[in-house]
Amino acid sequence: MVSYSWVSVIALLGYLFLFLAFASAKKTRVINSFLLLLLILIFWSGGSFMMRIRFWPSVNFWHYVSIAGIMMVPYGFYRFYLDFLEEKQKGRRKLWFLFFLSCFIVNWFTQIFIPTPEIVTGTDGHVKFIYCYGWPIYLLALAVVVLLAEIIQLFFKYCKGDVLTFRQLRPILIGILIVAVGNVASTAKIFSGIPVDIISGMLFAYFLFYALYKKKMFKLTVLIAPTNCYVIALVISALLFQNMFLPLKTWMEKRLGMGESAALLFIAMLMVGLIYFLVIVMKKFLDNLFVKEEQVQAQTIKDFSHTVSQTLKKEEILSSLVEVILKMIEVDRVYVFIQNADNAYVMEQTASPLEKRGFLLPEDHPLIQYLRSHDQCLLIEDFKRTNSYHSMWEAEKRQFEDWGVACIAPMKDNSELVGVIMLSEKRKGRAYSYDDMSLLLSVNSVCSMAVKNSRLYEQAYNEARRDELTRLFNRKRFYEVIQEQFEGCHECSLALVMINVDDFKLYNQLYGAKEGDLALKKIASIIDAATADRGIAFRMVGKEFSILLPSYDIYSAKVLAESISDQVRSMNEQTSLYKMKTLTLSCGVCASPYMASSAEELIANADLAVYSAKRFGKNAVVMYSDDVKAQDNEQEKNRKVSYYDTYASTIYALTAAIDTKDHYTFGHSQNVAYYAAELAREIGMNEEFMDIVKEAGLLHDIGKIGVREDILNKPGRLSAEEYEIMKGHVENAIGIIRHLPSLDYVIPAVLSHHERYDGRGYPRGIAGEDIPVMGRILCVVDSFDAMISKRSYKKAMPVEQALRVLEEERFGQFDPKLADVFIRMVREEKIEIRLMAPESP
Amino acid sequence: MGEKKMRFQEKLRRYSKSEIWEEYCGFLDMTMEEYMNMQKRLVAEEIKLWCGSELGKRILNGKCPGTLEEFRAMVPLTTYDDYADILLRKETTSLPEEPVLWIQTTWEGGMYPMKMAPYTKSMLDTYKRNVMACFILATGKERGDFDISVTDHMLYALAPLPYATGLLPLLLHDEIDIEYLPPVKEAVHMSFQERNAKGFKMGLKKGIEYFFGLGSVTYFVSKSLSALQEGGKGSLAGKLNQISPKMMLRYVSARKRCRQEERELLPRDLFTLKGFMCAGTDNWCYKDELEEMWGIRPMEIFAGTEPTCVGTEAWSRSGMYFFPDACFYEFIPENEMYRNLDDPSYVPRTYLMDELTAGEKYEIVVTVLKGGAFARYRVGDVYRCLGNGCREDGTKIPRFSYIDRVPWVIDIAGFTRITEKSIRHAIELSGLKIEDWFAVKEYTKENRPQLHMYVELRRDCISGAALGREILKEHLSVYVKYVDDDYKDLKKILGMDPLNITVVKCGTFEKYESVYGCKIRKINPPACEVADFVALQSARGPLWKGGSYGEL
Repeated sequence: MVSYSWVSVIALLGYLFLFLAFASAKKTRVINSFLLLLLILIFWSGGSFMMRIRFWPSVNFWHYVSIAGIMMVPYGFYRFYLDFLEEKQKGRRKLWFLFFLSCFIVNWFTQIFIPTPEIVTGTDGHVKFIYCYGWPIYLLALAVVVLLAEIIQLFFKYCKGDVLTFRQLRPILIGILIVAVGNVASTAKIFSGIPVDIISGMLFAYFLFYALYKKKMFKLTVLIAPTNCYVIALVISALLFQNMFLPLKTWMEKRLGMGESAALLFIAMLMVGLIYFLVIVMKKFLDNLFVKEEQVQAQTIKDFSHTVSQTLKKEEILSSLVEVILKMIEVDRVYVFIQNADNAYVMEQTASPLEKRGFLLPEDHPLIQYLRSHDQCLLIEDFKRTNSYHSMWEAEKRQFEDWGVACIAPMKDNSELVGVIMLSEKRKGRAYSYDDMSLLLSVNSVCSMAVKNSRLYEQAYNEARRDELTRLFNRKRFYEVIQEQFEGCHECSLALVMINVDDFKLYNQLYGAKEGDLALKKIASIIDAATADRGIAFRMVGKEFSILLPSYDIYSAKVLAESISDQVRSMNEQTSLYKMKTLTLSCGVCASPYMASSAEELIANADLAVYSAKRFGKNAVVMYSDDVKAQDNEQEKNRKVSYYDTYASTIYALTAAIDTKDHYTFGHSQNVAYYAAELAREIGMNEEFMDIVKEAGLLHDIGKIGVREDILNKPGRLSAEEYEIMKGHVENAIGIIRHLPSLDYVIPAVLSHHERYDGRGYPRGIAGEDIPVMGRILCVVDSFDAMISKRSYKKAMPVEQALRVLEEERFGQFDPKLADVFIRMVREEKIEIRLMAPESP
Repeated sequence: MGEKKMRFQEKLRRYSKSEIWEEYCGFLDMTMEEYMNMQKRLVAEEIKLWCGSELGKRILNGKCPGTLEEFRAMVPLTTYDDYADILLRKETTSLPEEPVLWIQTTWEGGMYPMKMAPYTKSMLDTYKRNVMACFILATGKERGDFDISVTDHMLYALAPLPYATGLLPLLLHDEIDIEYLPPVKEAVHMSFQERNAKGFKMGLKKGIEYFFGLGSVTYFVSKSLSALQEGGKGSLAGKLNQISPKMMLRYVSARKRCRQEERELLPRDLFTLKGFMCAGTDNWCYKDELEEMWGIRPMEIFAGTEPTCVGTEAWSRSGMYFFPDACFYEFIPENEMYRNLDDPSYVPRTYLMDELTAGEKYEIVVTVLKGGAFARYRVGDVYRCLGNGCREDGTKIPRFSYIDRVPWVIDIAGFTRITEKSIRHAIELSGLKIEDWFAVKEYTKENRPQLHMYVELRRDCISGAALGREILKEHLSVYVKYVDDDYKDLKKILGMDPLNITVVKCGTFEKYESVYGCKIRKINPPACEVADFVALQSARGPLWKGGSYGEL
């Protein structure tokens, strides 16, 4: 190696090293530009080196390679500089590229700027390359000066009042200065033959590298890419080979007496082994130096991933998460917030068990909004500089300060923000590094999936423990919770309220299952709202509910039950069209340790109290006591008295009133009552139902009291207007009955006896099963009796013909099942046909 | 967290310009929705704090608003009277949050001579950040641009503590070590004239990069520089030995240039301002001339004792934007404001920032955030909404121009708060036989504000007393100065004598009432009514008045 060619070698190796390192780095515009610049520098120094060793094919060829490099350096640097400043300037980029390319092409043909060097062999045998520049080189220099002026102008533009940018650009500026000095110096005679331009180029590249490093545009570990290990090993081996080959060969031939070919073979094998050994040693060494920590991190994340994949319990997942963070990052306080069912983020895990949990960040919290639109970790210092931080409450800011939050990491599953992790400052005030934040994002990514899975599991778990209709916990959950609470409540009290809706079967029969379900939902929501977070509400079965109240004494539980009872009683008051039956509750209250020593005893006693309430006339809250138990045994058996009897006189008075106005209606009502009760019996209804439908039959046309007599007794067809008035008798009936709360249970039947099965009836136009069954019964028997009766405006229809009409109107006016049953009853003479006497004039 | 907060000048070293700009002026990039979300979120905290305080409970009178809608429905529009007893006694325990500072201002026409306003720590932090935003915007030419350096100097023409304007240098000092001319510690012991002279003298040595003051004051200070080119004591030529060589060079070349252009020396010939901010009322009267004098258009900001620093213009200088984190803003439309003026029992409707109509005038109502004491407070200023955003500024939030104080207050050049009560008091004290009067704020041909009083003398004293216009003016000036300290400063500081008197024919007020069926408003009646009034003295035909005709 002669004529300072070692300088070119070192430069070349340096550029290669950087090039290979950055080739494996994450590509950005500026990194790409740096790679291009390195490539140009490799052309420059590589060409120069090859030329100096007069490598094949010719000195001229390598000279032009080197010139291509040197002439494109200004462009390469200009491009890098613009990208570093994130300046676009597409037009100017193209202009300078074409200019320097043209200079190179012109020089290729004319050698006007940089002529081919003169090769001079010195007396000592060393070869020197002497360049004889002419004045045109200054033209080229002038162009470079213009380019530099543009660069400096940009420098001032960006650095004016911006200290940070100045600091970032400072190494680049120094690099430019060095390369400019180097190139000017290379034209001076004193440096004749010394490649100061290459030395300056090398320093220039390293200053650019430093600028990129300062701007944190790559990770330093890219320098230890495997390719670099191979290149370094190769270079060391090549140097050893060059220096050791001849002495070793001579030594082997002379001392060991080996033949030339054997020695060559041995040396070749030795070199292969040496290269292999060097690669391994270097890799180990560099791994230990730089990569070990990364490997440990990777292993930790792997272990964490394995751990969390083994469990579906959120507490365990979050506990592992905090553990791994504490292990990998020098931090003392960690707060984990997880999204709950209401989309708020609740603090569920902390590094210290002494920290108060449960703090809540609502869905519209500025931090949450910010993290939803950003995927990276967020340093609090950066967050403080955003509008989102300025939207935070001062109290929240103080809370964050109390926690010492320094870094916030989003926990995302794809774009969904599953949770948020907040970390306090690192120990000894160290700053959070790029690696810390990468690690946080990695563990968060693993954790987010696990948390999401656990939430799904939790959801399914809860679904299995919730009642579908009311969304309260179900019976299964009740038995789980009562055991848990009882075991956890050794030192404190635990109250149980059992709630039973009174006469709910009747309610269902009166208004249909749909209304019944609606009522249950309303009751459940009353119970849930009253319980709030003081206890847990359950729907045990059908019309039974219960409330578990930890730390409640028996008296407080009774007060709560009474409050619920009051609310349920007034629940149906708001119904506008008609007054629905008032629902009442029978509640039993018991509490441990006062009146029960086990969960089973607690349930049994509360149940007993409910029965006691039922027996004493329902609509009551009964506290379990020894008296309740005693009374249980002494109850009269025949206490049940049909309360319908109580109302018989009222019903009689009303029907008598209509008789005075319209005698036909009175008789018709009695017939309808009879047929309805019989039909109800036939379809398997109980006595209670039969009584109600009978009374509904008596009262179903009570509204006709309000219709003018001339319309009621009109001999011909009613006009449209009169028909409308006539239709109003249904609402009239409700208007009368609603003032008699004791008879309100007949309202649904009365209200719906003119509804048609196909939905074309009045007043509500409801259809099918939505019409209460009593209404459907009355509809069949009312029509039948009307058809077979003689009225002032029509003759009586024969029974058989009336039955045919019933058959034809199945699915039309009548419920098909009820019509069929009634037709069968008439045909089988299971029912007595009551024909009314002709009307008196 | 918990450590000392980073100062602005440290941020200059650590962050890029665009990052710093984003931090302080990022609110300009907000959409209307984002702006309102921030407003509503912050007011929710204030509602909680204010309603829980003794002060809030007393005004609410047992009501307990939970939401913003309830808050607006339950809290009445307030004035300082509603707070006076608690705030003047500095009852800190009755406030939403403990204040760290009390700022005072004059309360013209109020129960007491002074008003006190509490400032909490959070309010001051927000104030500081918003003042820095003003500072950044004042020096910028486009989005993301500003030019602030630690080595800069500020000529500061505002009153010191305990007035609100005295807070600004304190807050700025917390962020950056720029030098005040003269230093704040010395300035508090100086008279206004001394401060200006000293500041200018120091400016000649060190240079002036920023200038901040009331519009009228900056104009007065700038104007006084023109006296420098005249010889004599105190002239610039006489101070040549005290100025830096750089300034001397500038001076020499400026004189040459001025001779060539045949004009007087202007401040811009000597100083290159980076930023120029002005506050107060009537700024529009001075802006053009100030721009001519300094070579940079002043940027208007809006700050007050009660609301803190609430608004700023941006680089285009084409309207103010309100800071979303200083106060929660409501706006009373002009017609509602007048309806309430005529019938104080009428409760005017208020609108939020996203409900305003471009081109309409509104009286501003603020709820001071961050533990502030004032809720739904009528500051007494009227703005015109210029529309949502500005293409030049690239903004999407509403832009406003400052119009003036509310019509029942006359503010001359940001100094006075003249009300009906104060003029009546002055007239009573003067003993002048004035039958009736009204006062209007008007602008002279030179665009200078003046207080124009229309006075009718008693018939019985016309022949018996010397009551010429000049005598009346002299008398009334003396007593207006007596009842309004700030009015005194107009003469003392700015050399202004803004009182103009018109003596009207005897019986004009009575005639006006008989013709138009109502009395003319005492303070700032609408221009058309003033024209009707003036015409009454001579005209005989029908006069236009508010859309209907009246017969003489």
